[in-house]
Amino acid sequence: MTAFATLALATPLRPAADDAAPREGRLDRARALDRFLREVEKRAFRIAQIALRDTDDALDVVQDSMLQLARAYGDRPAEEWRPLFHRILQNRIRDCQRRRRTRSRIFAWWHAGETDDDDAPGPLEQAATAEPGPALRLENDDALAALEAALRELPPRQQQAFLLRNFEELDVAGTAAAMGCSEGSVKTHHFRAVQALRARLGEHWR
Amino acid sequence: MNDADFESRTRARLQDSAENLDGHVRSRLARARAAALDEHARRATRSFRSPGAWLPAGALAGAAVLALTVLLARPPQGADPGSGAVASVEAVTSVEDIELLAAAESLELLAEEAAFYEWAGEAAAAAPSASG
Repeated sequence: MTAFATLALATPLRPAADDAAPREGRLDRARALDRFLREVEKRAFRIAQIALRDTDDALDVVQDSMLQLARAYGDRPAEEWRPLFHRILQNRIRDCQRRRRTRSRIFAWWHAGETDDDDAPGPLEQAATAEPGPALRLENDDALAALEAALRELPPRQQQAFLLRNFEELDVAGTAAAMGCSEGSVKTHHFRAVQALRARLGEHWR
Repeated sequence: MNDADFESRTRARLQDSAENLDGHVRSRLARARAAALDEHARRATRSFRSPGAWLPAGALAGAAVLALTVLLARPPQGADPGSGAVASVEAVTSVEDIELLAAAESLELLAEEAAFYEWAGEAAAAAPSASG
């Protein structure tokens, strides 16, 4: 037999079997992505909810982040997913906050003639920043509510650093990747967040 | 209470709150996850069907065509220019090889129906003795 026949015999003639390997690989990847999303989704929701103070907005932001991760980074190594996902989540949270501020300004401008104080926050902003007063907080004696309220009072970068390091348990490098800043900045934001929270929660957390 | 204790307590509170989400939120999260996995599957299928995914197969096919071309262009070796029989045998072999390569399913058919051909051979061999 000539070289052609040898080549023909050496070439696998089982397309179904050849196709099975990539298909199996794709299934493994989908399973890994499912596991990852299951693992992070609840904490991601809580992080978004604390930052946005709204359940529906938080759910939308988490859904967008999941879709974006699957769409753009689903084929990246699984160990890169966590910082990437949180980077996307933080960006979506920031976008949502920007949209709210814009809506608030438009609303304030629209009703400018109806109010004497142009600097007063709009109704949407007021609704978004509504906090239970200290008396109510003490009355409820709800440590979690107090913690959430204290977290919401933190500057955004400190809040992010604290939640990513302490709640999501990302290491400093992962937090830096998620926040898009240096590891030194992460350490500074985290340290300041802990000090501020301890000072604010003193009476609840002794 | 030091910083580490404080962080540990806050972590426990937040973890509890994440584990005790209400049914509506859990259901929305499950739907979001399903949508993301759907998107991932769609993209994976699309990229598998894209031309780039078939580059290795294309390269193999190209190499086979090149090898065929070289072999067909090569003059018969070791044959006396006057020996037309040898040249024609080689040409026939090459044509057979091309047909085999071009019709992969024929090879598959041969493999799948080997038992049939084996039986046919035995039957043909046994036929004279049975009749005789």
